[in-house]
Amino acid sequence: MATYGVTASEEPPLREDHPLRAHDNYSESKIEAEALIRASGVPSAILRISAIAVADIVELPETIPYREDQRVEFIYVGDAARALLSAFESPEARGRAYNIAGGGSWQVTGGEYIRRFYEALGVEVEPCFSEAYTALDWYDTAPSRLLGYQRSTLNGLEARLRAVGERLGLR
Amino acid sequence: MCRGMGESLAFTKDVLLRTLELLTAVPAGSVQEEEMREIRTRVQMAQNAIIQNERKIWLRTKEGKEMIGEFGVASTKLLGAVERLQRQRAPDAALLKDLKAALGEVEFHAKRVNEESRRRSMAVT
Repeated sequence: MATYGVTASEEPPLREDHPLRAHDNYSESKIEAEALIRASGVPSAILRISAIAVADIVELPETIPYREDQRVEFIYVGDAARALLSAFESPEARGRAYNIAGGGSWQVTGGEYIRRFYEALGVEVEPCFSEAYTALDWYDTAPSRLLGYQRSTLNGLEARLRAVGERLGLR
Repeated sequence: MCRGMGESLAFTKDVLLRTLELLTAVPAGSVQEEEMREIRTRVQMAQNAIIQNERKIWLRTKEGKEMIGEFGVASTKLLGAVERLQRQRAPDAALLKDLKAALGEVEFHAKRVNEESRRRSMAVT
C-alpha cells in the first residue's frame, strides 16, 4: 500500500486507480516492481497488501509508524495469506492490481487500533505515535473480494488476542 | 517469595546496582585492579539486559516473569558473593572463584533475556 504515498488529506477509501507516488526507497521499489511485472507480459495479478495484524505479542516500537488520528486498515495475517493463495488459483483475477486489506471492520484510527489491540491482549502500554501522517489509509477492497479472503474482523482479532493474553498470563 | 513483574524487575535491577556499588568498595589488593574492572563491566552488561528490556511486553507473561525471577535469584547470589569478598582484606582465591561462578550464572540469565527479546522482535509492516 506504500505505493499510494501519504494520503491523509484525501477522501477515503483509496481505489486501485489512485496515482502511485513514491515517497521513499521502499515505495519506489514497489512501484518499479509493478511496472516490471506489467511490462513482462507474464500473466499476473498485483496485490497491494495493507499492514499485517497478528494475534500475538507485538512489542511496541519506540514510535508507532502512524499518527493517532490517522486512518489505518490492517489485515489479519491469515486473510492476507488466503488472498495470495487465491490469486494464484484464480486465473480470472489476472491482469490488474488489487487492494488487499481487512475491510470495513478494520477501518479505524491508529489510536483506536492500538488501544483495542493492547486492551485485548491485556497489557497497559504508553504508545508514542508518529507526528507525521504516513502511507496507511482506508482502502476500497470491493474489486479484490472475488478472491474471497476477508474472513476475519477486527473483533475477531480482539477475541484471538484475549485468548493469547489468557494463555500467556497477561490477563 | 512471589513477586509481581514490575517488582521483580525493579528488584533485580536494584540488586545489580547494589552489586556494582559494592564492587567499587572492595578493598584494594583483594582483587587485581584489571580483574575488578572486568568484573564490573560484566555486571554492568548484565544490568543492561534488564534496562534495555524492562518495557518489553513478553516480560509480563508467565514465562517472562519466571525468567526475571530466576535472574533475580542469581543476582542475589552474586550480591552475596560480592559482600563476602568485600569483607576480606587480603586476596582470597576461593571467594573470587565463587564470585565468578555467580557472575557466570547472572550472565546466563541476562543472555536468556536478551535472546528471547531478539527472538520475539518481529517486524510487522
